[in-house]
Amino acid sequence: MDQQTTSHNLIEGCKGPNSFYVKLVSSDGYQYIVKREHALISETIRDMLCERQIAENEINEIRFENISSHILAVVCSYLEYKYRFKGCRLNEVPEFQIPPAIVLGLTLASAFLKC
Amino acid sequence: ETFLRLERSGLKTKQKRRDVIDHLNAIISGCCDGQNLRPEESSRLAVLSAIKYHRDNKSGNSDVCLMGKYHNVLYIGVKVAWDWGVLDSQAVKELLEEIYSCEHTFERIFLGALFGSNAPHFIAGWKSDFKDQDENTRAMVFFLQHASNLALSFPVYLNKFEGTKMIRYGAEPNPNDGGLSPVLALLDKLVESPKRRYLYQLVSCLKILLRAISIIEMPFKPYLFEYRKSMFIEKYEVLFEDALISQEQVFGVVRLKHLCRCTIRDILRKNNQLPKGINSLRLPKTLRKYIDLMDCDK
Repeated sequence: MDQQTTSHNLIEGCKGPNSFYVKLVSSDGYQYIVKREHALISETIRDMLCERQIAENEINEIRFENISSHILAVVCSYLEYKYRFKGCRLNEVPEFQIPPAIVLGLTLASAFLKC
Repeated sequence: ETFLRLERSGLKTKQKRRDVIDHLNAIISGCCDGQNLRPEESSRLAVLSAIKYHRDNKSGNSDVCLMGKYHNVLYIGVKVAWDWGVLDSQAVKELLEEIYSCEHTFERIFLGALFGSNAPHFIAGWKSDFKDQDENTRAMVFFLQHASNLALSFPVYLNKFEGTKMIRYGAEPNPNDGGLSPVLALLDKLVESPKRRYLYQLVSCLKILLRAISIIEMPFKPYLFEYRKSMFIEKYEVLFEDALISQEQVFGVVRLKHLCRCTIRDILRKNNQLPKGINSLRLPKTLRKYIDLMDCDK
């Protein structure tokens, strides 16, 4: 599968009220496509998705005017990390590394996203 | 002159120290009125005199402290500094360094704050000059603030969980001293509580400590994770049931906000900026309080 097809499939996966993916857009316009179940870890995103009434062909997209791309990238990694390890019963959970340079921005984002 | 007239054991009892302190306080008040000096300046001079008296006698004895009144004079300085609220951190720093150079601990200051004003008498044979635990705690905070102003740090070891009161001021919540971690020492103490009636002080210590550490590191190494986990659950089951600790902080994933708090505190601690540096962070007040462990939000 080439890159264009993959990208097309991801966008298709963002459509509809029960989409598999959701698109998160940072304040500087970068787009991150994450699995809905990962995104739902954030209480704020969960509330936003629940409140929306979207059509079958509409893309599930959330814009964050106050979160820049380098912060949102780490948030997406955390959402995936949390989803993957939250129910981990058999193995030690690896440490999630926070880049010190962006820790203040990340604190603000995590407080806003409630995650 | 007052010191010269004193016997060597002249400052051993609390009453005698109180007499000297009262006498000094009267002199400081007199200086303020007579020489038009500000109280903090007069009291600073009194503290520096106590340090000088100790230092001179020590250096005159080949750098070996003569103890007795020659050392206890420093505690007169401690009480005067507290009573008059000396503002000069440099003077307080010198006082603390002078005490530490002989004792290698500050137990006469912090034992009363942690266990009550009678504790230093039973533990260290020293009656506290502070009237009660509350005053001793405020005095301890006063000295910690001065010490943190000048990034002063000393390796002081406290009973594991009692030290949690100092975590806000940059005490290492997970000291790498090869012993049991403070949080596990505290959990061990809590599971011993009869009929699950937990001591309020222990619970509040645990709450503060849990805000300062990212996860509770399970003991029982080098066993496999699964085995360690079942041993941990078995040992601390009641604490999970009573919601004193959460599975999330032991085997799961804590919130990103909490991880950020721990990272920020680690950075500030390494730079001797706790807790003062928190106020200069470009964050809303609620988040600054959260980072300062004052917010109960997880």
